[in-house]
Amino acid sequence: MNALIQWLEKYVVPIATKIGSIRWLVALRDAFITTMPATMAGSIAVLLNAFFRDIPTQYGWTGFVTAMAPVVGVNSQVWTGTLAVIGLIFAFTWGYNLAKQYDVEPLTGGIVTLGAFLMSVTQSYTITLTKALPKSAAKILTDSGAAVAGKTVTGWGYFNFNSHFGSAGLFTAMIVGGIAGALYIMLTKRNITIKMPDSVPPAISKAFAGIIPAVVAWYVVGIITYFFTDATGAAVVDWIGKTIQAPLLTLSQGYGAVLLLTVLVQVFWFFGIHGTNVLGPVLDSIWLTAQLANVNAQAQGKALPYLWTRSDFDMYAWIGGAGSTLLLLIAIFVFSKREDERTVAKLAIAPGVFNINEPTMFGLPIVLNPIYAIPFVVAPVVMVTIAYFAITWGWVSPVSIQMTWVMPPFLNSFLATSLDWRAPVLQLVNSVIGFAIYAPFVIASNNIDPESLN
Amino acid sequence: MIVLDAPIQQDKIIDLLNGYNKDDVTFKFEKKQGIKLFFSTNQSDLDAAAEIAKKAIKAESWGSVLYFRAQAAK
Repeated sequence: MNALIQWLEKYVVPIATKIGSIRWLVALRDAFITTMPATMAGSIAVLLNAFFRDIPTQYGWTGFVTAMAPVVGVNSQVWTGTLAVIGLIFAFTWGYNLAKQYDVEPLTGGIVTLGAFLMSVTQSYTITLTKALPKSAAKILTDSGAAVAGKTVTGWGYFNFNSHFGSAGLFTAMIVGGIAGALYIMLTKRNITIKMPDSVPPAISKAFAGIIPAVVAWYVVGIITYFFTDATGAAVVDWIGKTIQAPLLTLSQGYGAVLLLTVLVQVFWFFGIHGTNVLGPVLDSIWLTAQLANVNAQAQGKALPYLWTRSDFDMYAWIGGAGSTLLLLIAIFVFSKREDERTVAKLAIAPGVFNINEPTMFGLPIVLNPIYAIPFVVAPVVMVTIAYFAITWGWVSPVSIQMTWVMPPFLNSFLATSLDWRAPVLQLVNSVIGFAIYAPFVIASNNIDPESLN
Repeated sequence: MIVLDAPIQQDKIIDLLNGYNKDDVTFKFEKKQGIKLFFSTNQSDLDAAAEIAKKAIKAESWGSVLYFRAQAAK
């Protein structure tokens, strides 16, 4: 085991450290984490509207739905200010966290990336009519700010809220915001700033210091987005959405990608490397984006665009935490004759219900414990495979509501799938299989002297 | 005494905490038992000391990716 640890420290840990210390990736992960209050509030609103509108509508309870209209309206307001504009919110948190990583004024960083994002989306509309409008109708439109020329009606100052501000705008915020953020940080770091005397209050001094870097960043992005749209006729957000975001998310829906991620996280955890932290940028930028797209589609009554999302890993592969250790604890209660394991299981079961498994990981321990290495990796792999195909074949609904990872098993899948009873059944099937995978190893551990593990 | 369950980078953790001296908080490596590293400390609040040790490790580039536990030794 010592040789293995030395090998890990020599070859694996430096790679994980390298990934974990890339400031851009850390900022990306933190930018997604920072949006959590908005994503959770929006998800609660979508879930409540499922109770008050979607499900009653399915059963034809129109009277109830009508009576609940104000409640539905309030929930829709909350969704509009949170998940519906999650791309916009992320555009700010991205710049904020990026600037924070490089120790430059984060608020200005957030403003810079937010402004850059807004330059990438359409700001006007053009409607081509089949025939020219009567003068009275044209006057109504011109009075409201539109310009009418023959059969064409144009208006400026209208962001395509529905198409660009939600999850569809996330990659644009990352890329265009990244360009602006990098320029802002680079210029600030090189002191190409306006310096104020020490007597000026810090808030004013910081604002002045940000002027030159921010102006340059915005002008560069402004030039890029203007000429891009002028040359192609497409908004940058639409182009990035079609050529980068959509193909990447499509790739994430393959079994290979889901399996690879599961195996990597498990192996990292087993060797004492924070798996979901190191791979957080991938997990969040790909599968969380897919999940947010699903939640927004659910809120608007549209078909869910993605089958496998971020919460699927938590719900179907990591029941009780990474490695589905809750199932191991149950197996210990049933089969273990070792007092040390049973004691740990008693202490770890309560946090395990909320998917917190540090007491199990370090108490048994599982980390670097050769007895549990195989089931710790194999159980999630088998479980993720079953869940992936059950969802792909349409046996279980995809995630349409975002859940926090501490939500207990069964309840999490039931709520996350907008009350699809088949989801907790799938979790139960996975639980039985995971339990069966762990059981022989728990029985085998009965013959091991705990002191030999030290 | 505080205990850290840390399977890898044990040498670096020991070096870091042995040399730690900030806000009058110090640690001294006492013994290793499997993945467990035991440290004595000049602090009376062991939970707080464990938290300080954890933060110090997490602040290192090599420590930020580690999965470990720090707590008061029982």
